Formats: sequence, structure tokens, C-alpha cells
Amino acid sequence: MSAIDADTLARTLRDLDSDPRAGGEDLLNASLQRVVDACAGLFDIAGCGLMLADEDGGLCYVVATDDTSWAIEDAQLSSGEGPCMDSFAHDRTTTTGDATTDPRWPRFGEALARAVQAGTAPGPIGGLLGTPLRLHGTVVGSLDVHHGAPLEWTADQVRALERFGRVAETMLAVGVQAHQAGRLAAQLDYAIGHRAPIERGVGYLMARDGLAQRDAFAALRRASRSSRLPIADVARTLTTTGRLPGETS
Amino acid sequence: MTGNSAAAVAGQLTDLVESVAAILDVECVGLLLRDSDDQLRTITTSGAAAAALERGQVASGVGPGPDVQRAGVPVAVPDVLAVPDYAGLAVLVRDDGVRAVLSAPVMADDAVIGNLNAVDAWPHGWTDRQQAALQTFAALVADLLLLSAAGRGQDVAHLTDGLAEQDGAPS
Repeated sequence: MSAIDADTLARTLRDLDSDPRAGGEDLLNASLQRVVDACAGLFDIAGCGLMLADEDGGLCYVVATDDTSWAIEDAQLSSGEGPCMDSFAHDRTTTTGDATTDPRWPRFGEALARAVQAGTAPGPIGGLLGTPLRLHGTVVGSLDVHHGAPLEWTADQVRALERFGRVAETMLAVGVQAHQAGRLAAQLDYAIGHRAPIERGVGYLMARDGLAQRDAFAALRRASRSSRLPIADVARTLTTTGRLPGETS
Repeated sequence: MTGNSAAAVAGQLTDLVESVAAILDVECVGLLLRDSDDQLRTITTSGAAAAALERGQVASGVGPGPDVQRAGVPVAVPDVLAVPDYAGLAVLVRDDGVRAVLSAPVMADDAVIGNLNAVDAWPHGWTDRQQAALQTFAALVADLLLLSAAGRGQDVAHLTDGLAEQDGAPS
């Protein structure tokens, strides 16, 4: 049983109440918004966003500097592919000189074209960079940056943005440790704790069924949804029994 | 606050300060915060010149850091050795590679609780973009402190006491 120091509790509540920014989840969100705003202000870029792992082992967007950044993240989530998804999946910075025409992600390019046509991506979209965000050595998200025109990313630009990713990681680490950050911190805690079994499950399916990594992950997610079990539990079942929930031999 | 948790926060501040130095492309960056006795304490520095600046400012009571504490706005100094008002500081840091200094306030509850200082070993001016960037990073330092303090049931000044103890004796 934990003891509660009444004086400390009262002082904490007073401090939290006196500073509207110190509202746990709100403060973490505000801090992450400040991180992406700072990134856009520091570097010669059109916009910036941040996506984090969700409880299904995928990504969801958290903050962005502008509507076009939101639309870019949305296009990646809806198409299931793109440079930021790849940076998250492969734990390495991924760039493209022109996101709209890159043959590696045709569905993402189509989704972007639809967003531009619908006006949800008001700004022009050219080069794009995603760099993984890690906590305790586990990839938990991606910092995503876009240019308004096609470009060749230089090594210096990539290095500087990767370094800026460390700033975002520091703020995420503080948020998780503060235990005041509610849903976001819980989401990140889950991602840290369960990423390894999910990755093992993906690897198992790749070997067993000859699937690409992306397709193996999609199969794991489908099994999670149809069985209504957390994706980490589905992955553990797979690697323990050799079968997904509901699969027959 | 346990020693471990103070060490964790101190490590996070060090990571942040080192990132600021790399991103701003300056020699080094230092962070001073006010403790519960309202004394400025050196919390972390990314290089010897910033450490020398923080020691010199605490000892002499003058410099861009103390000016920021009073004014609450960033102070950009092309060459600290050439500022007559900083003569007391200049004699202390003359041989430590402290020339151009940019200092930004760390604010919480509308009060200045410390300052973040960027240091270069040669005289030069500071661009508006650099000043805005350091101010933004100072705001991130404040966020980090507020989040950490809230998570540990402390106010920022008492958190600072624990952080300063990580570095040994008072500045």
C-alpha cells in the first residue's frame, strides 16, 4: 500500500492548478506541439508532424504544424504505406525527393493526389522525410517533415533532422516518466512493452507464409481485430502455437 | 525525490542541452535554474566554455544570464569580453573560450526560473532565427521541468534542488 504525503499532494495540485500547461496529458500534447512548431521554425521546411504507435502496433498521428502535414499523415495511415510508415517499421530514416511520384508507395501517392484534389492538403507537397522516434531502444513513432517542392535531401539536412528527433524523444521520455500524461503515456508504455512480440510475430508470418513485412503485419492486425484480442497477444499465440487465433491446421 | 529520478531528469536535460548545441551549431550550451532558496544553480552544460560562463556569472553576478533573469527577455551578446558592464565576468572567463553568448529565459508561472545559454568561442552576432530558436528550446526546458515536477509531486524549485545535487556542490 502506498502512503500519500498530504502536503506534497496539496502542493502538486496547487502547482498544477496554477499553471494551465501543467495538466499532464495537455502539457505533453502542448510540448509535442511545441516540438513540431520548433522543427518547422528551425529548418527550411513547409511543415512537420509526429505520429506515435497505437495499441494495435500501428501508427496514429498526434500533432502537426499545418493542414498539409495532417493530410500527409492521413494519406499514409489510409494507404498503409509511405516514408514515415517505413521509418517506423524499419527503424531508419526514410526520405523521398517527391512523395507524389515515388514508385515505392503508389497507394500513398494516389491518396495524396486525392487529398490535394479534395483541398484537405492545401499546400504543395514535394520532398518528405520520416525519422524514427525511440524510447528505451524501441521505436515508438516517427517525426515527419515535408517540403513544398521536390528536392534532393542532403546528408547535412538528414543529420540535423535526425538530431531534432532526439529532442522529440526526450520530451516523450519525460511524458512517460511523469505518469501524468494519461492516454498518450499509456499508449507509449504499451508500444515499448509489446513491440518486440509483435515484431517476432511479423517475422514468424513472413517465414511461414512467405509474406512481405507489410503484408505480415496487416495479417496480424486483421487477426487481432477479428479475434478482438490485443495484437501483442495474437503475436504471442502465433509464436507459441504456430497458429493465429481461429486458424485451423 | 529519489536520487534515481533526479538522475533521470538530469540526464534528459543533458540530452536536450546537447541537442540544442548540435542543432544551433554552437560550441556549447548551459542551463541555470533557480533552486528553492532562489539561488541560481548550474544544472547541466554541454561543454567546458558553458560551464566556465555559468561559474563566472554566478561568481560575478553579471552577464547575459543575470540580465535575462531581470529582464525576462533573450539577451544576445556578440562578445562578452567587449561589454563594459560585464568586466567582472570577463576577467573570470577570459581564457575559457567564452565570447559570443546568447541567453534565453526559462519561464514557468510567468516567472523567470532560469536561463539557457548558448556559447561560442569567437565573437559574432546572433540572427533573429537563432534567438527565436533558443527561446523555443528554453520553453521546451520549462515543459520538461513542469512535466517532471508534476509527475513527482514537486514544484520546479524543489526539483531543481535535486538536479543541482546531481552535480555536487552548489555553483
